Amino acid sequence: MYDLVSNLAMGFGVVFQLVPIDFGIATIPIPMNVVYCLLGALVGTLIGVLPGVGSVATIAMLLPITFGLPPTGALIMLAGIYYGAQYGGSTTSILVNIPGEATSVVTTLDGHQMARQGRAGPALSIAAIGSFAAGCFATVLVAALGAPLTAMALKFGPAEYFSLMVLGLIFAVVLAAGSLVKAIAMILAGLMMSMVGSDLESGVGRMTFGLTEFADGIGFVVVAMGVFGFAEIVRNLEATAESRDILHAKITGLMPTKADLKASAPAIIRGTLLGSIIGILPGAGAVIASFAAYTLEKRVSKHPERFGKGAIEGVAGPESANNAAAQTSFIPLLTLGIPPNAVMALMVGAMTIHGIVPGPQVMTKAPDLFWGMIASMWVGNLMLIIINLPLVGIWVWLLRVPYRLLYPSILVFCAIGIFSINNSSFDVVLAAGYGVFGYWLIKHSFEPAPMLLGFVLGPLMEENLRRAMLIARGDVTVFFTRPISGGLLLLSAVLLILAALPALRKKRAVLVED
Amino acid sequence: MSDTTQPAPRQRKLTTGHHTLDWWAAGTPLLLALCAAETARHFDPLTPMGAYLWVLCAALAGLAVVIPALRVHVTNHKDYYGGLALIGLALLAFWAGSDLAQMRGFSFGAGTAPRLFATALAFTAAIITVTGLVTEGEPIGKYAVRGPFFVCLGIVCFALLIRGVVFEWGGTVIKFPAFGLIIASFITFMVSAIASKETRWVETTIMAAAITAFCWFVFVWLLGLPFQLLPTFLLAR
Repeated sequence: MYDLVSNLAMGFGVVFQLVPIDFGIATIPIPMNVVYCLLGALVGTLIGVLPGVGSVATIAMLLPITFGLPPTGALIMLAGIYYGAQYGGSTTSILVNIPGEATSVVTTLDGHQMARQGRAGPALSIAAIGSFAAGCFATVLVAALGAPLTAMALKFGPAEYFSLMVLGLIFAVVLAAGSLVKAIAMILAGLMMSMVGSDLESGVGRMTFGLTEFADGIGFVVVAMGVFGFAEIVRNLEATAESRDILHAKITGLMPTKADLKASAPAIIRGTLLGSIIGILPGAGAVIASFAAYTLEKRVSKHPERFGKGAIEGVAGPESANNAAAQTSFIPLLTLGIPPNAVMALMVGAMTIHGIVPGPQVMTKAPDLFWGMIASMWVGNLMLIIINLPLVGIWVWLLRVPYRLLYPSILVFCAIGIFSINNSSFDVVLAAGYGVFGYWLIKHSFEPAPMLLGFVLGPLMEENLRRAMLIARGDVTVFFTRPISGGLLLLSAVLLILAALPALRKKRAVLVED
Repeated sequence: MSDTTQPAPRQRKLTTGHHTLDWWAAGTPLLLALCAAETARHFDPLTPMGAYLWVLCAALAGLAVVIPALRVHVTNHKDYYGGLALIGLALLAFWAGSDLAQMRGFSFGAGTAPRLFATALAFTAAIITVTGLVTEGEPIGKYAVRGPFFVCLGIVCFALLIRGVVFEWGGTVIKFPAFGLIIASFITFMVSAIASKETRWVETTIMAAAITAFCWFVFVWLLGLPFQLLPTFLLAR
């Protein structure tokens, strides 16, 4: 308990650290990290509300902003960007029925219906309030569980890490919307592509086709921008104007009524608890949390028929759950070094760029950074509420930009974003290639998300597999005989079998369709 | 993601004896069989890897024979061609990584993990291909040409203009000078705008200028990223 308080105090100390800034006339001490967080949340929301630009693309695009900052400031700003992007996705879900990303798909169901009834204000506010409440709880949970989980992570050997990553990938398979086999194929394709580049041990260039540009491997941002950003634009261009038409109704009444608050309070609490638990599981992440919360709300409601027709609980529950899960998913990321989803994988990339390799050592080697980041999560949440409640009108105006002008702008930003990471024209062209590949994937009903997860986990998996095999002197059974590793693999197997069973498959399909 | 869910009606029987011969359905595995043979040449046929590739090659060739012989009708194009393309991707990885070291004792070589993943991918993709023959599915739908082409062209323009590129092909050297951020983003905007049928040129030009100014303001002025702003030949003078 004392640790929890002192750790949080340390974190907030880092976040609110005063830095004297010379303004020419006078030197004024300013909490720079809070300013970074505010800026991050602001630009994150600004980019995140653009339809078709999800949080992965937003973070990828805004990554370069943090390059010039010191590591602590950069990570705190990233946290701000992350929450901004996340909330921006919910805003587009509610206003124009375009989910900014997978976690806000459920929000479209009731949120957009509310907007059509002229109640976009309460919907947007409840989403922000629910997110904030969930954020407060999850921040404390992360601070409390971070240390014990890290201690456990230190007991993990290469075999356990490998099995844990297998479990994470299986989660991605089980929760993918379409066919199981196709999701597995996508993961394997991602793993395979991640092998391009220099071999860690011998330094040999692998599958580089003799091109020096491939020596460092394929960048995550290149794949993510191509498969999500560019492919999505091409897909949207195919759609008719009406199907992505922007709402022209005026938003009346920003704040929710007392009845709204009364209806959504229990939903927020349930969503927060559910989201916090699901977020801790590696690989599960915020997406299922929001689906699960929506299903739960529908089940406990006395009037389930109201769902899908503008029930405020249908916004409050999932929005709280996805934010709580997003927060607690920092636990597997920061303590085990395992990204639970594509967005978190980007965060790992960002950390590596700043010279921080996520894992148990972050906590012991750079405690100020670790706790500062956790405190900044809460601050990021607070910033969201401060920024978004008054600015809803502006986001709506931004969304009225017609798509024919919007998509070239997005393309220009993406191109600049990719180029700025390595100053490499090759990366930009490669991203275009991945865009074509992503379009092909959409046409053939393959999901790009599992591929991206495989792509991120590939090098880590190989490294741990190699090490485990070397330590066990080539004995494959080591993965099954070591208790933690064996347990994780058993869990993966059970999950996969359960998902393959026809009864559960049907349920899963219903859940995805809902 | 609603279009990624599989359609409900399923059929578990191979549809044969069709009147017309599907050239694409037979030609694609034939092409892949040739690719597999070329890849397998790089491996010792007595090693598991070499043997695996020859088996894969034989299976693909078999598919290329069976489809025209029995007049098999492909009922799920998405899965059939999707699976075949992923087999092709796995073969590409085998081919590109054929020079890499194998296992030495119980120590992984540089090529072990890539081959492990590629083998698993080829196996899974084969299952998808077979699924495409025995299940019913929606048609793939028309590929748009204009959208992807101009979106890609716009991006490629950016890559060429922003930094300047030198191509070397044998003796010939083609040199693109660097045009800088301002021209690159303006051209990228205009070229990619052609991709949409709804584009109106006056407003697009104004917007392109505005976005270019915005990019300069945000990325160069505000964030201080090291971009070259103007063309090199202007800066030299």
